[in-house]
Amino acid sequence: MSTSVVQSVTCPICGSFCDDLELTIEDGRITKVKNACAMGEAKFLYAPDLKHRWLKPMIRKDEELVEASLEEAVKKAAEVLAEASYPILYGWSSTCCEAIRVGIELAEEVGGVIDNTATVCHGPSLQAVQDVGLPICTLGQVRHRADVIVYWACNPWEAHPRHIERYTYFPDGRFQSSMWRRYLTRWGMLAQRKRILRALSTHPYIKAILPPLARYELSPELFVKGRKLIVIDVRRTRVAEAADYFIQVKPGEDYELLQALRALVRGIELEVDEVAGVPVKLLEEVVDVMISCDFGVIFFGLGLTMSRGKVRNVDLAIKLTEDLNDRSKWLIAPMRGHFNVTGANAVFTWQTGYPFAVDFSRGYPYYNPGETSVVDILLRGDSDAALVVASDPVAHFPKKAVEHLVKNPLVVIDPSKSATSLMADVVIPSAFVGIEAEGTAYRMDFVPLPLKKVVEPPAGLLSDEEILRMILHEVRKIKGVA
Amino acid sequence: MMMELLIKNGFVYDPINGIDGERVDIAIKDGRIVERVDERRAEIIDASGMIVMPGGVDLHSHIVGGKVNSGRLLRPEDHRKDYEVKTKVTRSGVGYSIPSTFTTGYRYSRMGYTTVMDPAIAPLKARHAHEELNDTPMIDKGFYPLLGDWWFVLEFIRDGKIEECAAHVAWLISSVKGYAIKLVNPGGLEAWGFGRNVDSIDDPVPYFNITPRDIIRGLCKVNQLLNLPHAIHIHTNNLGKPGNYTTTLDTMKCVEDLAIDDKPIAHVTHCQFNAFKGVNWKTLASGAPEIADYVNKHKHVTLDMGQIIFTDTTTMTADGPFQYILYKLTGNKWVNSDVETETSAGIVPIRYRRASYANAVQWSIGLELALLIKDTWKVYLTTDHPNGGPFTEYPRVIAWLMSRIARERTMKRLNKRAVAKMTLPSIDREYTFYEIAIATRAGPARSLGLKNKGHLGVGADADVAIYDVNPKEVNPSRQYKLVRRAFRRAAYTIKSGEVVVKNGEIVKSMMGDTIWCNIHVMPSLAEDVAKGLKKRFREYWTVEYDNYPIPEKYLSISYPMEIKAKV
Amino acid sequence: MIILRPKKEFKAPIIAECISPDVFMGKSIDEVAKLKVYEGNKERTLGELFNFSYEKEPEDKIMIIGDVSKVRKIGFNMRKGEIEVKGDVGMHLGAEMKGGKITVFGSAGSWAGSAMSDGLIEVHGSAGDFLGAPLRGSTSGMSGGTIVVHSNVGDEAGAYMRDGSIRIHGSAGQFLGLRMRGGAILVLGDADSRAGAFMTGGRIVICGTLRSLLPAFTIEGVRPSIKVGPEKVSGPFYLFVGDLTEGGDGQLFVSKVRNPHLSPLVTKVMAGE
Repeated sequence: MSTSVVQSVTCPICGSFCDDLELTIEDGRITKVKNACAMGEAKFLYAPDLKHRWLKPMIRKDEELVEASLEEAVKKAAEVLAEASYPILYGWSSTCCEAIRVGIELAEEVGGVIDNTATVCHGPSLQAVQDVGLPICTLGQVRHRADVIVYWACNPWEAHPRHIERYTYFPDGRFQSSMWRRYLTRWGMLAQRKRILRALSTHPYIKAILPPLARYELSPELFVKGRKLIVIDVRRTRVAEAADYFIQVKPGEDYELLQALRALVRGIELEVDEVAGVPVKLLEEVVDVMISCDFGVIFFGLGLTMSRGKVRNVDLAIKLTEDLNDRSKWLIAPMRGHFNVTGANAVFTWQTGYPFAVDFSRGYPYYNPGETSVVDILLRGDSDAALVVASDPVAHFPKKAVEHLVKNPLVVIDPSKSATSLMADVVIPSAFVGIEAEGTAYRMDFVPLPLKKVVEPPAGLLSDEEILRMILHEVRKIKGVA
Repeated sequence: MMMELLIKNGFVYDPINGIDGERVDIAIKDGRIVERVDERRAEIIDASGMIVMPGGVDLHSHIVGGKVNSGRLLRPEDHRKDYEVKTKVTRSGVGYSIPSTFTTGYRYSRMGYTTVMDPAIAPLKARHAHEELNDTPMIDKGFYPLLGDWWFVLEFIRDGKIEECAAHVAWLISSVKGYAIKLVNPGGLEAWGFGRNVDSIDDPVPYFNITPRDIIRGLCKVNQLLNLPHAIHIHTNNLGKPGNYTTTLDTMKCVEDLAIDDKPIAHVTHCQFNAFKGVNWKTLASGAPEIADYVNKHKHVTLDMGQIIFTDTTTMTADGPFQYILYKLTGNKWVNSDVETETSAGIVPIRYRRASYANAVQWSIGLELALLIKDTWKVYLTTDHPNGGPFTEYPRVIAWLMSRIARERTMKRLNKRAVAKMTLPSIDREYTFYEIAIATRAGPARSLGLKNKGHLGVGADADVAIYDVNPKEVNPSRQYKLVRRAFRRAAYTIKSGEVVVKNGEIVKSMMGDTIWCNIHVMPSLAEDVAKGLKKRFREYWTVEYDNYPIPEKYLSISYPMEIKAKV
Repeated sequence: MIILRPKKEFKAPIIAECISPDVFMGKSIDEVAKLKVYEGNKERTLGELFNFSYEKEPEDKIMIIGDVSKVRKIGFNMRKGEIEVKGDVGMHLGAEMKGGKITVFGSAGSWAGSAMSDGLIEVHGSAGDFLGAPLRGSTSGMSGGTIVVHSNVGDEAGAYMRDGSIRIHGSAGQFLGLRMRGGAILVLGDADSRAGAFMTGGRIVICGTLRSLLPAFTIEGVRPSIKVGPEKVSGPFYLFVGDLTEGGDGQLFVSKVRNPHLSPLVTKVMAGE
């Protein structure tokens, strides 16, 4: 039995893209994962399991997916794409940059629309950046310097489990120290308080007069010094429990809250007492903290980009950050989801000038989200074929969009048996990038890191990049340019 | 394939070999210039009535990397007005001031340029720069990692450990596959980490007990210890601020005593942005005469122009605090991007206007620098692409340098108050083709220490540009428009011995080399560096030691320059 | 007058910048039929997609009869003449228009009149998002001309507007007059929230209900009526000024009668003064 340990492995799960994992490989199988969060550990241990994947290319014949040779599947995929008038090529955020580069070349060759998953998550953020810019930094800068950290409409505790521990509130930096100990003390006291309150609140009268469980009623020493964590969300999440300030915003009113904060930062008095369900008094207190810090950062999530206001929520959050720079150093960063959605945006941008939703139908890159974004294309029924790479739109897109997607020829390249692949006409299974194939991916702060190959893929499975190259080659043959 | 080429009857300008417009045939074989080829077998290019020059060399142009890409992301409106349709040999692309990677390569090649250096890459994001370089065709290329605010540099210099500093710089440049040491607003970027800046070369850097002067001198010494081919490449403190020409003079003076022989030891880049006189924007004036005077009297510095063009472009530098000031001045959109333990960056779109007093003065400063510095080998043509304007406008700058009339015509349309105060109208000097060849290829190649570039001597890389303008018939002073047109679209561009451009169109797509320095320090020292870094890596960065260096196989065509350091 | 009738129901988007009187003028039907358009990624001629007929008068008019909701950029950059569409029309109708007149008896897609500088667009149905607004990243919005929409419009109508006027008979979506610097928008129906976000100048008049007022607007007073272009609209209207966070003094007129939810705030502030 052969056992080896691989160090500094990057984790192909979320945008935090931790690169300090340590894997134990026994007989070509990953048996132990160190340093990863539960999601990362599960992916390394269970994703390569043969039960959840296609092991042979499949082609739909008479309504049934049947096994086919790789050459056959590639040829069929190439025909579908080469013949289409308006094909879409979607996915890309869970594969490596090398594959994306080929994907864009393919999209250009077939005159299609290429789009990545940002279109349904941080697309609005990217559009906001195009309107007003983005003061951002790498995560290490936050670790070393930030003394105020804002999480707005995101829940890193669950979506990016090591974000707080590695980059923001809990790590030690050159100029800031860890808040771990304070968090534990506070957590203990809070638990105690909760127990007492719960006991008291069984009495209806006491319950009526008890104030809400507000953080600043605890001992002030626990809040004065060191880093401060501010959480703004529609619900009290786990990270909100850890915060020094929690602002519960009414659903869909983030824009109003942002504007109120911006007004206060600029010294404009508000005429209302309450904005988005939050007392202006509390906002004033929070703004005081924000303008008197040395280095602040806002991390925002899908709660901002996908709720009412979308682009403009982010637009305003960025303007707020820009204004805060008159008073102190402030930066803002999106909490990107997939481990390489940032890389997808990067590759798209350097090859085509635009981060997502790029239309090659006229032989050059054209970009206009709302017009060239895949969900809108599907909802209008414009497209007549699709290639999906490393993504599962059938599980995530609106029903009407999915209907149109599966009505037309659909080619899927994916390492796992996704809902989309079950509906496809051609399925080409691939190796898991970052486990069975190497490549490059970008952390949410645009730091590029290598994806490692730690085990061999099942026999016959190629990487996304290799498969795409074969399709591209075949398309060129059909078009007579190879 | 054994390619043989013979360029016949052209007027050759090859300043490194002292050839000034003589008719010399250039023979090429296997990607090199050779003594002769067999005329019967070789492909003949008839360059009668044309100019033959070495392929253009640009030593300062922001073409790849995180910052450039953020600029692309920021400006869809820049791309919509300028796009390129896919052809049989070329990929499509977009972008006026910040073209996409393929388009960048094609456009340089169309102008006869064959080597381009990106001057500012955050080492932590070097992998990104290499990925883009792998998608930038037609040219040989490389980049300078930003080192002036790297914590290791600051700490070692503070502690007076110059050899350790050198060894660490060697590790970093070799690891990220960079080419030269770049300083941007030394000390100021670290201060910008907390939203501050430094205001002179003697203003201490917060928390580090060190001044920009120490950093500049320290890295200059490091550069000498490492035997790097290029001098330290400096974007000085106070860039873009009225009155900053004194900072530039201070910067040049502060390394004066370190010079050995006559070798330049410091390159002050895009000097136009750093030659401002006056106390504010209203009293802005040119500090070019003072700087030219200093440069004329000293041999240890070289410059490049950083000429501005009147157009809509995008400023992008690693100088975060400067970009913030520019954002506050213009109210345009603003990107800032700070990189842990290393550097920062900023981006702001800008439109240079003829009617603007400040912009008109800036325009004159760039040209005054080029015209007042007597030795052309000391000042090179750049627009600090895209900061002063896109590189595609170089032919415009060439015309201004070669023609007084061209300058006068432009001045007629400029802000009157600015013109009234300019030195430029009193300058009669006009560049010759020979001097243009120095400013656009020979000079930068020599400054970069690229021995095979920038000339057409036997053994040189067969990178050649042929322009359809007859120097015996065309008077560039009067017919500057013909010159401008010729330099916009090369009649031929030959890259590594192959014809890649004909009549200004790409006929063949190819990948150039990525040039980098593989620096060898003493093995024991290198071991200490590795050991120390491994131990302390996590204190500085949020990535692992193993994942920081970039393996050579990552570069599509790697061209390492093996360098033996003195330490 | 050239009359176009689509030959089939289109599936892929058609990009037809050439459908403009400036292009058609002086061309024979045959020449017009040879103009290039894109159907998805396939290059076609106009004649492959449309049937043509010809009427002598008026000479500079184009009429389209049928559903052209997949056809984009009709009247792009047009300077003169007239286009009449009997049916729904696709995106970018009259984008960057500099003169002439477009009438649609149906609905228009998003970006109708995008960044137009002169001329008239009249849509008898509804219009999509970004009415008159520029494409992403640009700050040059509508700088002149008139847009009239007889039914509802989507979000961000009149964004980045500098001059000209927009008249909406139905209701408007969110972010009406976003980053507006000049010009006037009149909404006879209701407006969703965030009207006037980031506005620094110009005038928005809402005769119906404004779902909610942004906190960065301040009450200036009550006006009995207000002039929008040549027209006098009677109120009374609350006059708010904002967006204060942009240091703006854009005017937002909101019907007093139809917006009782704003009256407590107005009363409080006016009393405080």
